[in-house]
Amino acid sequence: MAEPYPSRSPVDQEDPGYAPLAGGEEPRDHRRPIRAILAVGLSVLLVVGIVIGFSTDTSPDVCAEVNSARLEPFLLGGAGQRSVPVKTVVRPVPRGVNEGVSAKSNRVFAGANLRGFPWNNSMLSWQRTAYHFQPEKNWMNDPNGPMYYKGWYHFFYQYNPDAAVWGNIVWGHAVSEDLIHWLYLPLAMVADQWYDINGVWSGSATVLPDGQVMMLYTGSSNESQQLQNLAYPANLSDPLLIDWVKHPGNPILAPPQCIDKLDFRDPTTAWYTSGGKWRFAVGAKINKTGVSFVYETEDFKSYKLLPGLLHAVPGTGMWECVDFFPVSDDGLDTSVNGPGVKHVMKVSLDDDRHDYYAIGTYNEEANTWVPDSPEIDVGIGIRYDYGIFYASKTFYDQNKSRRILWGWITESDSEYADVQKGWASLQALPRTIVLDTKTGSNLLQWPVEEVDSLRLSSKEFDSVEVEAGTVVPLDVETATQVDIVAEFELDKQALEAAPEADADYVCSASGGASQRSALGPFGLLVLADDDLSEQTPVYFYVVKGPNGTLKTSICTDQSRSSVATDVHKQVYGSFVPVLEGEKLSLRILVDHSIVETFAQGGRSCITARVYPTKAIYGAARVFLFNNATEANVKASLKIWQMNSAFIRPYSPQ
Amino acid sequence: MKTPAVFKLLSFSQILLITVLPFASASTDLVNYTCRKTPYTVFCAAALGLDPRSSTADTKTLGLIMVDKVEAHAKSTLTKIKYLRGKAAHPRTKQALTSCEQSYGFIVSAMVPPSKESLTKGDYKFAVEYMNAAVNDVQECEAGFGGSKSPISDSNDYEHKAAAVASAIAGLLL
Repeated sequence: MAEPYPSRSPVDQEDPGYAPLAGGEEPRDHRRPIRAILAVGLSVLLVVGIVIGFSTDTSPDVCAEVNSARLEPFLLGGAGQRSVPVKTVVRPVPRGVNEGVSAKSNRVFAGANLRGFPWNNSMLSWQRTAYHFQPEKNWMNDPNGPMYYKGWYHFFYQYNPDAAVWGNIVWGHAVSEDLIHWLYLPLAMVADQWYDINGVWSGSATVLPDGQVMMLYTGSSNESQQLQNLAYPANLSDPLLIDWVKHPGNPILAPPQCIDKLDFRDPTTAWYTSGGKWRFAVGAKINKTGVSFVYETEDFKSYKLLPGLLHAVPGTGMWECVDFFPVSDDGLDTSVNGPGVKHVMKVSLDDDRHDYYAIGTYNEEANTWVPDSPEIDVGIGIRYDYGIFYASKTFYDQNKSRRILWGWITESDSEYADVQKGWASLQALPRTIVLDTKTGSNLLQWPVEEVDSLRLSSKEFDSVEVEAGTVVPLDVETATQVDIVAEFELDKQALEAAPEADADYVCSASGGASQRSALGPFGLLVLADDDLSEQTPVYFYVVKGPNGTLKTSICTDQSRSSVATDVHKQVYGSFVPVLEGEKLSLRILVDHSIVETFAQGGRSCITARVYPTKAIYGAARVFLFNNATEANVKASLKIWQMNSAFIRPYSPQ
Repeated sequence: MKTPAVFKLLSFSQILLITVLPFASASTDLVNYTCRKTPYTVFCAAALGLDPRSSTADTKTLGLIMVDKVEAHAKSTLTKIKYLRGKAAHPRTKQALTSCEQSYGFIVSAMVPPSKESLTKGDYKFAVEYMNAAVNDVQECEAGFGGSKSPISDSNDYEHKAAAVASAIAGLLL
């Protein structure tokens, strides 16, 4: 429902000046000729019109376009349906979320004992990870301003200094020379200005060619408005960039008039145009249409809202953490453009807490981006990750010429347990991101190569036969911090003989690893104890489609990951393209309460949080399993023990 | 001809009424419109209707009013719990009441503040999440009495509904 707009804020740059029209009053003296009155009146109007014309901001008013027919095709379908994607791209939404019921509350309907699990300190402290980024305590959410600068990787993050739940948000800061061994630094920015006193929210770094760093970010103001601000390092010769200065001219941007003051946030990294200007995007929504505005600046001092919308998709709701960058089979600087360069548009959808991306073409002159396949447009198609992965952000690493992706991994246990254990949330391992040139229609993500430096001892298992309906224990030491690389081959005869399935397989709607069919599920059981009372299956599920084509899904099954009742029990996953001649391949990184899975070289990724009560410390094992009814499977794999990253406060040597 | 003063007064008050009336019913309309999209329509409309703020509230404020109800009710339930525990005959009842005290204390200290912040500042998903968690906490409290009706079942029922409605209203703003 539209709300009346309050009076203009002093920073609103879009409002034209308004001069009251000098109306002519009805003359009392009837003897003055009408024609003269008209002439005077019209010329006054003309003069006033010219004055208004020259005094107003000559840049087109985006809101006027929004209200006119020009942008209507974008915005139609306000409250309406998202179009169902044609390809089988899975968007698992926990049943009940649309009804405002938490996914965790499905345990309530399981009946029986509804009491929260009696977590003890041993179980809770095991949950902390060894080589994933997390602060020493309290709540974290979005990754902010990642960048490489003077020999250090910088990472900032949304942080609550007071509690293990969201709130009182400021910017945490950490540095690392290798994206793995992080050192905590003091808070980079706190809520100390009227324009961010209610929260120093998310933002991005732009490193200029001359070495300056522009940090654009959202502030929640003293009136709880969302405003965009600029900050920069106090001392560019300090490689640790410990101190930050907020631009005296803040705030630099207020929401455009047609946008609600609470629907305007998360500025992107800026890209340099052929016209010699910097541009960046900010997400918003108009009714139920997610949109992205673009601003232009030459010097980061004055800013112009460009006409039109970079892109919009009806029915997707608020676009948080917009990201916009060029891709190829290699990493590309954010400013790269040209014929044949593809651009990725990525959004975090508030509505379902998932990150979506699409590949398309950027038209710099028209300020538009168009997806290659509108049926899998951003927000209705492919996700970065089919588990828990939100508010993600990429940056271009000039050090090694690669594009790197960060993602916020929230908890899927109870808030009560989070407060008990004193912390909540992790970051995913940083991932390189490239275009999958074999398919051309998706990205590939892979843990950065520096993760490999954590590998300690390994064990190799070659061509292990896993018969239908069996479980094979893998003799490694304790398996709470492991890196698993595995390949699977389905028995060819069973493949040929298998019947055609009558429906597509959808991980989130399935019975998980215990739902058997001819060709699946098969894979690994991680964080499993000896008698499998707790287990987290990561598996492939193959179905035969028409004309003998095979369709493969990759899933992570949380449903038996813990005997505790107050944790998520979902099955995550998606369809994953498997090309001719490819074996089924998996990489799984287990790090205590997080399991990150990469299928087919990173074509499909799943991050899951699990909270076993028994399969912890020395009791955690790994198994191969094959729950198919017909097909045997041959598996070859290597399992490494992973070292801790020893993430700790920075101290000068 | 000079218009009689009484006609001027009549037409003025007519115009006033015509302009004011739509707003008066518009606010009730918003309450009804919003409550219909929550799991407990009647409860929602009654609870919000009783609060004087609801006549001029937007959706966000209706959500905040509901979170206020969750908080106020949790606090009064805590007092009730302490009183009942003092009188409790059975050690199991005492234990269950202690567990409920933890649940309600948690709602007040850890679930209400971020829900208010979330609704006020426009990052609504946290209010959805934390008010849902409050629903779960209430259900745990009730379940602690082993399937039979607890001595605070009316309070639990109210709190359950209030938190579920607050979460749903926040969800409408996403």
